[in-house]
Amino acid sequence: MMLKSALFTLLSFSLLLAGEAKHYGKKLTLEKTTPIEAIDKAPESFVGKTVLVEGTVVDVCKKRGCWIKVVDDKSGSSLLVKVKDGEIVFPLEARGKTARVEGVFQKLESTMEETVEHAKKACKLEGKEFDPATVTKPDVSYRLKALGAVIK
Amino acid sequence: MTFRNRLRQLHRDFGYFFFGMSVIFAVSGLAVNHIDDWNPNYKLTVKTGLLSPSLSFGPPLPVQKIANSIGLRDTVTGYVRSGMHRFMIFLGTNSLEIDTLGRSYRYEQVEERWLLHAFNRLHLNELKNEWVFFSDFFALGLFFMAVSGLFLNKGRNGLKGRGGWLALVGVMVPVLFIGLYLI
Repeated sequence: MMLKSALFTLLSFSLLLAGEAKHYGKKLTLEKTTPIEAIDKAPESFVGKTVLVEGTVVDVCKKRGCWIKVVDDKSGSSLLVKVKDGEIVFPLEARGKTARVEGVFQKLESTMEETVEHAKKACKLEGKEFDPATVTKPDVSYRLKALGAVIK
Repeated sequence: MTFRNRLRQLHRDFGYFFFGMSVIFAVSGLAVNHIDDWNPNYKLTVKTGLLSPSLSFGPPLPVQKIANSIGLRDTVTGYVRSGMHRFMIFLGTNSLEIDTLGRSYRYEQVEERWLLHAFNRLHLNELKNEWVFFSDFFALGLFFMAVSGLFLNKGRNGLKGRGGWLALVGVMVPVLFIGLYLI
């Protein structure tokens, strides 16, 4: 009887913990979220600004946990969230969960050489043959440099 | 008891005590050194293909039916729209992304290399908090073992002989790399 009640308590506690929000990095300071769709439509107007976004985590860096991809459920717009290696480590279990992330929106401009290297790596990862003709101009990308996040 | 004998005993005891930590850091060090060539935490299996032409995409999106149609038996834990014609279906830590326009799918199965992953998490100090104290103690222990090791033997094999030369060569390797690549 005692064993059963102990197991029940342990199970209830585990279920409570499972639904609990997990905090990463610094505490969130902003309250108002910026829709990912709005950032996706006009990224230039957000460069350098600190924003709070909310969305579903669809992918996590499987080697270092150093980035997550968050999507806006309604529009399908996505945003890459990057952290400094080791500072925050996102777990793979974050996939499918809701993330609130605060960070600085950044613009990354690659050189032609870097773009070719990125494309080569991407092809290697997907097992495809790299065709240099597919890279015609230097890559410009945007990302959120995360300061803190809450995932639940 | 001489100072050298006392040092030898301490060196031995530290060696025994940090056996486990040394193995964890050595194994994880090897695994993480080659992180560009392989994934030391998870084994990933990717399967791609086309969805059955008889499947309809709702709404609502018949997620479990789609998963079952490609032979997956895992239970769907959620799904989200991930693009214009794309949906990401979650099956625990595994995921299935479908393109409703091209009727294609990409299934990603993730298997955790749990022991290695645990070693890496300890090595890379992901746990922080109390773990930092123990790993700091290990670092100090390593420092003590490195220094005390120099004085374990005297004579031809000691610091004034072969041991000294080996220590010097061992120090020169990182110095050479710093000189060549980091200055």
